[in-house]
Amino acid sequence: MDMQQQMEQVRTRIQRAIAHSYVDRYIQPRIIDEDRILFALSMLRSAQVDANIALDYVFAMMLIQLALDTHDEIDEQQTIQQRQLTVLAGDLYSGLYYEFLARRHDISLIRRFAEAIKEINIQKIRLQQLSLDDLERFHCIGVIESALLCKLAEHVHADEWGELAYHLFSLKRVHRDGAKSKASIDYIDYCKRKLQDLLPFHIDEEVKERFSHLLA
Amino acid sequence: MKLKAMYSFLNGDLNQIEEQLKMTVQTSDPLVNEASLHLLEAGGKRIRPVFVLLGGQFGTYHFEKMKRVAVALELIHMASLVHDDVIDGAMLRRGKETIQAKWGDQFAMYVGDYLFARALEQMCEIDDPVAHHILAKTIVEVCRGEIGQISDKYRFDQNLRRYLQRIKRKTALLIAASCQLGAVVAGAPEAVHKKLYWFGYYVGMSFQITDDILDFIGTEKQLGKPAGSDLSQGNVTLPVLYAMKEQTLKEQIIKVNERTTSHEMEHVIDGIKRTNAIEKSYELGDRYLQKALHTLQKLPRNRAWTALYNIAKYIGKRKY
Repeated sequence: MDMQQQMEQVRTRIQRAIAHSYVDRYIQPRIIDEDRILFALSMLRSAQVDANIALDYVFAMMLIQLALDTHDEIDEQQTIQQRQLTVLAGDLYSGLYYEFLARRHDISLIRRFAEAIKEINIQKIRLQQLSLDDLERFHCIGVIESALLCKLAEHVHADEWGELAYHLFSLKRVHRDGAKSKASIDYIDYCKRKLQDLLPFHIDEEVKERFSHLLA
Repeated sequence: MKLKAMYSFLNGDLNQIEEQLKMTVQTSDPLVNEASLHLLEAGGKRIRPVFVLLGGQFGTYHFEKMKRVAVALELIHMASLVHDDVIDGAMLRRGKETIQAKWGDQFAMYVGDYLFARALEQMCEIDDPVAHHILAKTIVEVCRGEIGQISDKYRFDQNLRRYLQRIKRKTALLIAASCQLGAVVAGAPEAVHKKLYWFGYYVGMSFQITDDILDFIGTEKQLGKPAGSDLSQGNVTLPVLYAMKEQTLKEQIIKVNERTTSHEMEHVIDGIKRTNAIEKSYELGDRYLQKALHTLQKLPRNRAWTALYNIAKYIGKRKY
C-alpha cells in the first residue's frame, strides 16, 4: 500500500469514527490535517513500524488532534447549541482515542499522548497571556503544533523526527497566521534554516514535496 | 447518620487522595495552578474516590493503586464539570465563580482538557487493560449521553426508555465504573467486580431519579437554583413523563420552551406536583435502590459492604 492509500485509509477511519448524525447537523465539518497524517506515516515507515500498526497510531493521534482543534473553535459567535456541541464533540473524540488505544492494550502510547495533551494545553493557556515575549510565544506555538508528533516519534524511537516536526509545523502555523511582524519573519527564516539542516536525513519525497511551498 | 460517617475508616486514605489531587494538577505555569486549585478548593463530595476505595476492599487493597484510580476518576469528573459550565454558561458552581466566568470559555476548555490528560496519566500507572477498557468505554458513553441530553431538549415525545438511557449515561455509568474499577484494580474476581458494577449502576439510577424529583419539590435555597429548572431548560425528566399521562397537563407541558416565563413555569410545576408523578417517580427510584441492595446481598460481607449498604440507603432517603 502506498502512502496515499494509507492516508486515505486513515481519513476514512476517522470520518467513520467521528460521524454523528446530530452533531454533524450543527457544527462545521471537521478538517482533517493531511500534512500531519502524511508526516506521521512517513516517520513510522522510516522507523520500520508495521503498516497496520502505523495506521492505528496515526488514527489515534489524529483523533486527539481533532479533539484539540474542535475545542479551539469555541467562540462567542456560535449559537448556544453550536457551542454546546463543539465542547461535547471534542470530548467525544478524546474519549474515542482513549477507547481505541485501550482496546489495543497500548497503555504506553496512551500515556505518551496524554503527556502531549497536557503540554499542549499548558502552552495554549500560556499563549493567551499577554506578558510573553516573541521567543516564548514561538516556543508555545512549536509545542502546540508538534507535541503529539514528538511523542509518537519518541514512542517508535525516532526522536530526530520530533525536532523536524517542531520546526516544520511551527513554520506552517506562523505562515498560516500571516507573518506580519519582523519577529515572525525572522522566526520563519530561522525555521527554514533549521529545516535545511534537518531534512537531508531519509524523508520521503512525497513529504518533501508536500511542504516545499513552505520551504521556498 | 451523615454520609461521611458511613466511611470514616477511609478518612486517612481520602486525605491522601486530596493531597495527590493537589500535587497532580500542579505545573510550572502559575495560571494553570491557580485555575486547578480554584476548582479543587471548591470541594465536592469526592463520592467517586469513595466508591473506588470501597470497591477495592473486595480484593487485595493496595492503596497506591487505589489512589491512582481514585484521582483519575475525580479529575475526569472535574474536567467534565469545567466543560459543563461552558455548555451551560454557568457563572457559579458550589457558590464559587466558575472557571469560564473567571477566565473565559476558551481558557476553561484548555483547563478541562489539561485535567483530562492528567487523569489519563494517573490511570496509566495502572497496567491493567481491563481497567482501561472499562474507563475508556465509560468516558465515551458519558459523552454520547451528554450529546443525547442536548438533542432531547424540549422533546416531549420521548419515552421512559429514552429517559432511562440518558440518566444511565449521565450519572449511573461513572458511579458503576468507580465501584467496579476499585475491585478490578484490587484483583477481585470477575463475578465480584461485575456485581459491584451493577450495584453502582442501580445506585446511580436511583440517585439521578431522586435528583430529578428534588428539582420539582426542593426549595430554591436547597437546590441552589429555582425549582423546575430542569424543565424550563428543556430537560424532560421522569416526573414530567409521568405527569404527561394527564392529557390537559400534557397540553401545557409541551408548550414549554426557552421563552416560557417563570410565572407560566410555576403554573406548570404546580400542575405536575398535583398529579401522582412525584410519587410514581419515587417508586421507580426505590425499585432501583432495591435492586442495588439485592445485588449487594450477593457480595461478601465486610466493612466496605456495610458502608455501601448505608450509602445506598442514604441516597434513597436524601432530601436535597
